[in-house]
Amino acid sequence: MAISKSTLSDSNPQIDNYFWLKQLPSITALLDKDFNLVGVSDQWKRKLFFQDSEIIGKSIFEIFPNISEDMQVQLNIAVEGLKEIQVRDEINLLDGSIKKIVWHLSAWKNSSLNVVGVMLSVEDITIIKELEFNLLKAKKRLTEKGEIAKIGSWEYDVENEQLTLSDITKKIFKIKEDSKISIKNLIGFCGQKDTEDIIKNSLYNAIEKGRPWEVSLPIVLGGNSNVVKTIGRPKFKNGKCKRIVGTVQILSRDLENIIELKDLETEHLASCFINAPGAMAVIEFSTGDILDTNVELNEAIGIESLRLAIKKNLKTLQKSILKIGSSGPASNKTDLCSTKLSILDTNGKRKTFGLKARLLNDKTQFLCLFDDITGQLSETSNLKKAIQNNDLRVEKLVNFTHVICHNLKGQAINYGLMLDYFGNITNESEKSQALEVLKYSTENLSANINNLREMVGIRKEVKTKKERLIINDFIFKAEQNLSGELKESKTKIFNEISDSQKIKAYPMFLENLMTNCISNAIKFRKLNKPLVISISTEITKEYTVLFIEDNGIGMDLEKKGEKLFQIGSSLGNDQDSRGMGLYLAKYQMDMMNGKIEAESKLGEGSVFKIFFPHC
Amino acid sequence: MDKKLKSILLLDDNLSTNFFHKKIIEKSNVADLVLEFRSGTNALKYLSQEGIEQPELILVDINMPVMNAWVFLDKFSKLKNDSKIKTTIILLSTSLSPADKERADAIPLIEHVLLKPLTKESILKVIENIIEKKTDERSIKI
Repeated sequence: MAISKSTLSDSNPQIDNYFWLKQLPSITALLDKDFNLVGVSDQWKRKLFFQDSEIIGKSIFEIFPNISEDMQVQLNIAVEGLKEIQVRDEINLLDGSIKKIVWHLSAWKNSSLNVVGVMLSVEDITIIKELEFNLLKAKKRLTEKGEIAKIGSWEYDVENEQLTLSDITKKIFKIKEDSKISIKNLIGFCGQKDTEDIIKNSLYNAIEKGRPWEVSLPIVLGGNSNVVKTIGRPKFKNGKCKRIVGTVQILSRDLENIIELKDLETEHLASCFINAPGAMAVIEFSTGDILDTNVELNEAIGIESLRLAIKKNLKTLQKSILKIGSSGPASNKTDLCSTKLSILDTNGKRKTFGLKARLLNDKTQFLCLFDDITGQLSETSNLKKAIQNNDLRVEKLVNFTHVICHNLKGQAINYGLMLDYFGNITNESEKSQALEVLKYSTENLSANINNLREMVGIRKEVKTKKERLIINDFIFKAEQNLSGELKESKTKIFNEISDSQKIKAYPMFLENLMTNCISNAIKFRKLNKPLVISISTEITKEYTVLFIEDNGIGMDLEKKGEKLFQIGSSLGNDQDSRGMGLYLAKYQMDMMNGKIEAESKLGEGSVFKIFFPHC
Repeated sequence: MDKKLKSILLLDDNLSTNFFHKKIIEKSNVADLVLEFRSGTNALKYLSQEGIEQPELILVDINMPVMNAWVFLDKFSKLKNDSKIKTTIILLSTSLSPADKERADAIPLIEHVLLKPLTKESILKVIENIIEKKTDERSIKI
């Protein structure tokens, strides 16, 4: 609902917001829910060269026609009640200049906590970052050399704008003990425009963004130049900043050091951080608050998701940072800690970041470098999978080789025995008997070697692509291969599959599978009744399932289930099975990412289910 | 007379192996009866019949499909029989793996493990040992 100006009466609490808004030391505007400007701070007009009449009541998109798409998206998110969104953007100003800025968006809520619009402020990146860096450097120098004076404390009640100073604080600022003082007075103390701006900025950031501060400022007290170090920590209740508590202390220092801060080096450093080709952030050690981020980080991760991730893992992070060896020079690797963090990136994708951190500023903060290692991790896990698969294959091959060797060796021994025997044969009947056995042995050996050749063929076959094959063509081929056995056993095959149905497979494999399964059924048929095999299909989400059902002797899968598809574990009783057929079938299905299963009951026939994946 | 056993049972899934082993035993003239089976199930069926005289020697192939030698021996040792005959068990293997050897050593029922193929010499040695043991036992009784 848009709020027009006429509804803003004295009784409306928002009017207070107006005065407060006008005086804000930042470039801030309030938008209603339709993103029309309701009010702006004086800074907004001054820094962006606008008049009230030009902007109040107008849509933000009208005022900044080139606003980025991201910003449009984020505005809609802010209206949903989200706070502290930051968007990097460029705006064209009326004086023709282009400013690189960060939009800060927060839901604007009324006293009953309903969202009535968006609070929008503009941060001029270069200036602010530079200031912060100057201060960071100043602080370092000061803590290195300064003599620590007494520390005073203070507390600021945000709602009632009440400032309470401890006695020591009053002493430091040479304020009479019984006098009350407002924050404005205190700011006025500094007597320097730069310092004032910094204090105002710090205050604003603390109240609006929950940012703690720690700055050292030049201050003139009783004619002497001093440096005051002040720390402020915002305290929140129900998502609103209620109080700021802090300390002040005088660092007996000459002013010249402060002036030095404005040297080129700091500017250089600041831009180094901001434009570094790695995602970086400065984080408060005790609270996990994010104090600063650079361009790369904002693009790769985004402050919001970083904040969530840090808060979530703060304890772990603190632990690993505390493990850092405090001894040794800064260049030493020992003062770095590295760990992993799972973060949603700017596109909402879950990614894993490697994180390196180093403590800064008296160990109150740490500098983090984030490195996206999602790709590496998935590559590693792919490699692990590949190795596992290969291990399985090797195991299969060893198993297979072992069985083959065993079988072939048995055959070879038989030939040896046979030759011995032939040497001793005396009559014709023994000779013909031995020849029978010889014939049997030879057939057996051939079958073994055929299976072996098939296995070698498997490796060759897999290098080509699977094809869409008409199932019935291959059932016909299998029937041709087994025509002798089928005739002899008087087997009936009922094929329920239509002539047009196809599955994806390697032709060689499909023929083998059909042949093996049908020959299996013939082998284990009941001898007292004709064998009936029925073949049908069913299509599921992932597979085309081929059913081969028979009315044979069946088997007890409870006992033999695990052996069914193993090599050399024929289930036959005195049959000439080498236990290769079903092993091959399983092997081939594995190679095609399918599977083969069996259901059976002793004496009641069996059903073999072969699962061919659709792709 | 004393150099002969009453009966020997051969158990091997390979038809040819059984055939030739039987021939060797017959040629060595060390047993009155040589039985051959190609599956443990069938051998057990035969052995569990009433009134069957237990063989004095059983030669079992270790690697058989469906029921290997270990399972067969386990079942065989549980067969109830009131026969006075003590059966000697010999395992046969094409490739004697250390694991099999270890396993065989742990089973008191097994006399020892022989490498295939059987030869006249090896079978004669086995028979000799059995007969020696028998005479030892008799002399103790006397």
